[in-house]
Amino acid sequence: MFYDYLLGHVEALLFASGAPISDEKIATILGIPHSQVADLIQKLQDDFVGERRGLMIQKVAGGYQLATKPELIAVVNRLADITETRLTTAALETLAIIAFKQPVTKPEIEAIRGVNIDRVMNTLLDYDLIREAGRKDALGRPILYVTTENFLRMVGLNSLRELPDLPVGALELPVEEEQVV
Amino acid sequence: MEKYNLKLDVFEGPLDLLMHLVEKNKLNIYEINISEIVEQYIEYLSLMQEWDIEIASEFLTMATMLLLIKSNMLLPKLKIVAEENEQDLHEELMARLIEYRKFKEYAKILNELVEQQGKVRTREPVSFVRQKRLQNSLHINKLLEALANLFDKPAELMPYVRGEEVNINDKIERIIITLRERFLAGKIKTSFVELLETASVQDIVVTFMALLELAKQKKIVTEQEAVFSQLTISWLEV
Repeated sequence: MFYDYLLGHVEALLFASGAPISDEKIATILGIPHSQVADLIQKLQDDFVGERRGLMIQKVAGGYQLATKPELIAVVNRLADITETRLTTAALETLAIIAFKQPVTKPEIEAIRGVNIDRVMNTLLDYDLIREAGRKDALGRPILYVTTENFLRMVGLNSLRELPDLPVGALELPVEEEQVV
Repeated sequence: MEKYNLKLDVFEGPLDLLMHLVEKNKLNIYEINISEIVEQYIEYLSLMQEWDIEIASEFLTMATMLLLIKSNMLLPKLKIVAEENEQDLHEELMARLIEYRKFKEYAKILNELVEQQGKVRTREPVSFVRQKRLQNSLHINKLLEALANLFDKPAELMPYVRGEEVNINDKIERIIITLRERFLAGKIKTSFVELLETASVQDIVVTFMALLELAKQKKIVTEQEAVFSQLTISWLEV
């Protein structure tokens, strides 16, 4: 293809940026038609296939980013003494509500979870998974919360529209024949 | 008597506990009659109490609500809360339970995504906005030149302004010593002015900040009879 000589350029941009870069930005920087970027990315991605390469390209948070391959995580983790921190159930539940109902206020989340969520909210804010986004035009003008771009990077999704739907039947409980009445 | 051999999970809230009970009893969430699990719910709370697990107030609020729903069912004629329809309360609780369950499922999905993405490492985002990079043209000679220029300058062009420094920690120490001495001498109360060492604004400010810190540490008690009147400090420790 005509633009193949720019493959290295794209790779360099992705490496230098760290953060996801959008189609538009790549196109602007390289001075090529917007429509050509996906093709270049795909070719680069093809080059990364196989054991001889350790990287891959991910489409997250509205752009492309370089990432190490998941199967190499054990090796990469040996670089540093990485302690994996997991989100608590409480944090995950709260994050789920915010992700699917955003923008949403603290009282609204508390109504669903039935508990006070002050501490959990601080955790999520600290991890830069959620952020404030104005105030709701309601009594007390409560702060509205939305998820961040970092949240998309954390879950590896390109946009909020990619959030999966609930699997069908997830709400149905397995009910046995001899049900207690 | 049924032996308790259930694992004491930490529940994320009253709805989480209710959800657990519904599942444990294999009840259909859409048909469940809440009164069937009220006893179990309350049993659970007393178990938590026995095990010295702190019970959040939300659990108790829910228990009250469950009891209210149940008593309204048992005594349909005698509505305890006249204006609130028992059916509404029940339906409302069921709706909340279903909604909560929905987000518990969402949370699981989210967790899977996070775990998957956790196997991938990326570089930290680099900001290129207004980034300044040193050119490679910085030669050692330029540094020496700059240094030479500095020494060539007449001394009076580089005045040295010395500010009086009052260190707040030192001030606190001195105040403690003063207050303690006065205390041992039988003088329990000391006025703010007596603690000042100079008349400078800086000293007044630092003294005041030192007193705030001491008050925070509960080492002194301050009194003031009226706005702008004399501040009196009493030492609390020996």
